[in-house]
Amino acid sequence: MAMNRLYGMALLCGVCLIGCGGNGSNPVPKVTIVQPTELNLSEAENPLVPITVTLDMPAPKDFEIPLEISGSAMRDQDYQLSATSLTLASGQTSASIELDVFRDFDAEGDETIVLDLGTLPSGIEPDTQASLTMHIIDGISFIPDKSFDIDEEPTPDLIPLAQTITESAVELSVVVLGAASAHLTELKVTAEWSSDPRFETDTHLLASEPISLEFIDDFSLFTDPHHFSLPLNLLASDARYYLRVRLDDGTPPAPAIEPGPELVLTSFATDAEGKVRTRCESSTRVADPSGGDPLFAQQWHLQNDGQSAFAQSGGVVGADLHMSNVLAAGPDGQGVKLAIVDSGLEICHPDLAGNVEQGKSFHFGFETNYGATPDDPFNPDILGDHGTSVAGIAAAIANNGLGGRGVAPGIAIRGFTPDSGEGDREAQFFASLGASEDAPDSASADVFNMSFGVEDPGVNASEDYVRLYQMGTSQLRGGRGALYVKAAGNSFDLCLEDETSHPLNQEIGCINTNTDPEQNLPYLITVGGFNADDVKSSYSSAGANLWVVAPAGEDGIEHPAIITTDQVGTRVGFSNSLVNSLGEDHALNRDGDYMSSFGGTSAATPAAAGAIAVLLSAYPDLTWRDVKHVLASTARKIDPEREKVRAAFKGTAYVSQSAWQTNAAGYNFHNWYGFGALALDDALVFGETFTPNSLGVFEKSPWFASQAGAPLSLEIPDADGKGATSTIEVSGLPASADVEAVVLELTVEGHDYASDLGVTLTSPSGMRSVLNPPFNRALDNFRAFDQWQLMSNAFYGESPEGTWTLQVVDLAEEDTGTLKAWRLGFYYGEHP
Amino acid sequence: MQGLVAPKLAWSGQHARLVLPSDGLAKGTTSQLGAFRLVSRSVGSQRMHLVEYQGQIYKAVTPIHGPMSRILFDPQARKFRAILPSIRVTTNDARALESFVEALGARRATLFKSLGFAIVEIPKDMHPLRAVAKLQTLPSRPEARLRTRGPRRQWR
Repeated sequence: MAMNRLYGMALLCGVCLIGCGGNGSNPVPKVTIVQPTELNLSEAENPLVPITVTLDMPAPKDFEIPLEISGSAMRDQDYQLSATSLTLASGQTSASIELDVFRDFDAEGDETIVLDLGTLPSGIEPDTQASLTMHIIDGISFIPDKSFDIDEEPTPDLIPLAQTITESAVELSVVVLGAASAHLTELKVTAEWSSDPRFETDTHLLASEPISLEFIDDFSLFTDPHHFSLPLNLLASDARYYLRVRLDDGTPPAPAIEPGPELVLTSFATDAEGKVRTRCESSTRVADPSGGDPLFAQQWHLQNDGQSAFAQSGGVVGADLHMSNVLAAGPDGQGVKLAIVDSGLEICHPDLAGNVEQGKSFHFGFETNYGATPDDPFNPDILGDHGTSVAGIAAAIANNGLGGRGVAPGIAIRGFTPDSGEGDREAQFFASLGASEDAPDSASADVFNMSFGVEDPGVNASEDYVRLYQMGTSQLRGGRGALYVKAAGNSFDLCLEDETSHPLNQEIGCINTNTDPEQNLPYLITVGGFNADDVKSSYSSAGANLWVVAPAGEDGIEHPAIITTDQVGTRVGFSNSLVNSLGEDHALNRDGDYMSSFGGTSAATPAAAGAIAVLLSAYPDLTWRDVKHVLASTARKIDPEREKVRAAFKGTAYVSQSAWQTNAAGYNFHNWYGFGALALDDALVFGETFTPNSLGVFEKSPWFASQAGAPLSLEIPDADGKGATSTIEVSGLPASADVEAVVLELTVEGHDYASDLGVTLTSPSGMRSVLNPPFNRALDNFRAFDQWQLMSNAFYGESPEGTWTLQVVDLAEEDTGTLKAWRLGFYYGEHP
Repeated sequence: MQGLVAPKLAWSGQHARLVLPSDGLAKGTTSQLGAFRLVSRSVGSQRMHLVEYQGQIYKAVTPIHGPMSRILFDPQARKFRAILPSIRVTTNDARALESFVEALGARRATLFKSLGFAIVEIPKDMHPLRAVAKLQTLPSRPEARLRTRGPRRQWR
């Protein structure tokens, strides 16, 4: 025993000789807190700061270095530490933890975080740097202003009901709908006409009718229609005229040519006989097959080499449709029939006429436009025809010596004009979107360009539209399904100059794409826009129901927009607008048939529709789902460094918009871009080895409900990033099922201001999708959700089986609600 | 005028919508129908409606007569909506549709055979709810529904 004790003492002494220090022969390691490169941490930047300690020598054993935390900033409220001590394993010289500074919108002033080394374990000593003080620089503070109430601040809308052109007059009917209150008692509906589009000169009063109101409280207002008639005998022949109807509260109107909720504007040209022009008249332009396309060099969306496209600055090389192989010798859309469902189509436009299917267009308003014919969807409005400009992006003829070229210059187009004439508008849309075989023949179209939409929050797509798209995708194109290509919307930046908007709106947008009910159906391809810098167009709406983005550009003045066809002739069309650099004074546009400032997701949509036509011309057997699959599989990840948008509310961080994520099936997804930018060459290459109709049967699952459908009654904590969470277990679907879209149906009760609410769904794999971002301005003043259906494409290809988690947060003070119910529906197939 | 004296419920999927009285003067009546409480009265050339639903009051003003006096309250959107002068009828039979058109004196009808329904534009002085009821008197009793004016689609 004695021998053993002596041996033990010697051993201890030996250890000290190596590592104990303090007596010159046993050095003790000294620990230092490393000073970060930046001690002033900007809260707004959401910094993640590594906190590192180092030793001046390898640790002789494992050490736990505790930290003492103080300062004016509150841990778990203003910031989080990934740990409160650092572990140095034997042999290591450094260890780190992470400081996560929360961005919030509280007015706190600058705060400090002080980290001191705590009581160190034996065998280690503090070095000179044993304390660290960092400053959190306070960011923007913001308290949502809910005093703005649409019920108290009336914004009635002037709705055009009908426009009729007779042999002797132009007639316009409008109705006033919307919120009403006291000041409306003085309101009139006033109609004026002018030969000056800005109504600054030559303005004539046609009529002014008071709106009679006995009620002066806040009411939804429905009024009788107001009818105005402008006799043509007051007008000159071969001239241009403008007719406006405005809500008139006695103040002089600002010169404006942009219609809006308080202004209905129409325009027209008279012919040599003094009648209104209602038919497309062939131009005298002469095609030159050897003349190339004079504007092609500026069409950045086809091939971006940094050209300015008549704007002040150019974009970046490669920010385009990635279609250089197609441009060189690829398919051109031949054999594919595209329906332009829009405001009109100039079927005699020299750069479109050769691609127009004779007799296949249809003008719903022909009966109310004197001189019009049913197969000529001519738009008499001379301030620009949206449909004609949309058409050129997809279908302008190539190598004819005129203008630019379309994405699919071999395509066949037809134009339909729903929302015109006297008939039922919805019936016109059904008839334009594949449900009619004659007058119009939409059922034989392959692709529908839908550069339109509506914002109707909290409302689901009508059963009839569901039926329409189900029919179109299952019966048209010989059962392979028509392609419905739809514009996402231009509401991202709608509120950004409004001081009542939350700062987060700058990053997550103002109105989300899911506010359009039809875009929450899987049968559509919802297309957002990107610009010549390869970043989302500033206006392009974001959302989980996007599929891809395509070129749309910006304003065309400072930054490139899209060059496309315009109404034929000078002094008419968008080319005549001040907001267009390719005017009639430009050598490349003397005839006024083109423009350089077309934009919006209206422009991205025909770019995508044209690309789809090219794909279908190469692989006509692809089904509608195949096309979606090819696009998702080959889309280009742009703006890859875009960071997530995260802020803390009551000390809990909430991600209002994720960064790019890769789901469990390998698909990249971002709410700004869907699966990414459409890449046509890559899509064609993918198509070479893809077997058409190989995605399995398209199925819709039964609904999977929370708690077997029983009400939940989960309180949603107010102004708190924690939110209410709930899970649903999904089982019983085929093991090989691959999600194609997920629909969430949500009921929240009691909440009076639904734009406080953010809605996030997380799949069993951990893929997270924000289906409704907080501060969606379409939901201001909106009272709760009642079985609202929202769709996400982010889970494409994943398995539906497992636990799905819903989080509903309320991120603004006042107004509270309860999560009552939710359920999930899956559209799925079985992918190869 | 073939208006509506008393409020009625109309179903849209699982949602009951409240069709408000129209086309005529009213002294002021209070009614309870399903989850809705309604006060409706006319003043001068207008008619005022107050709808109470889930503790909130929603108000609307309409003309006394005519198409714009025909509105409903949509609880899902929490909005009043104008009722369109047309109805949706479930059918894919052109001959049957002809008989509906005749029975209603309809102005126009569009059959969407592939969708299984038609949109029938009814006489402007007929309340669409009356048109729906009239079809129920036919031997075939076709399913028919009201239609409302939604927000207008914008070119974007």
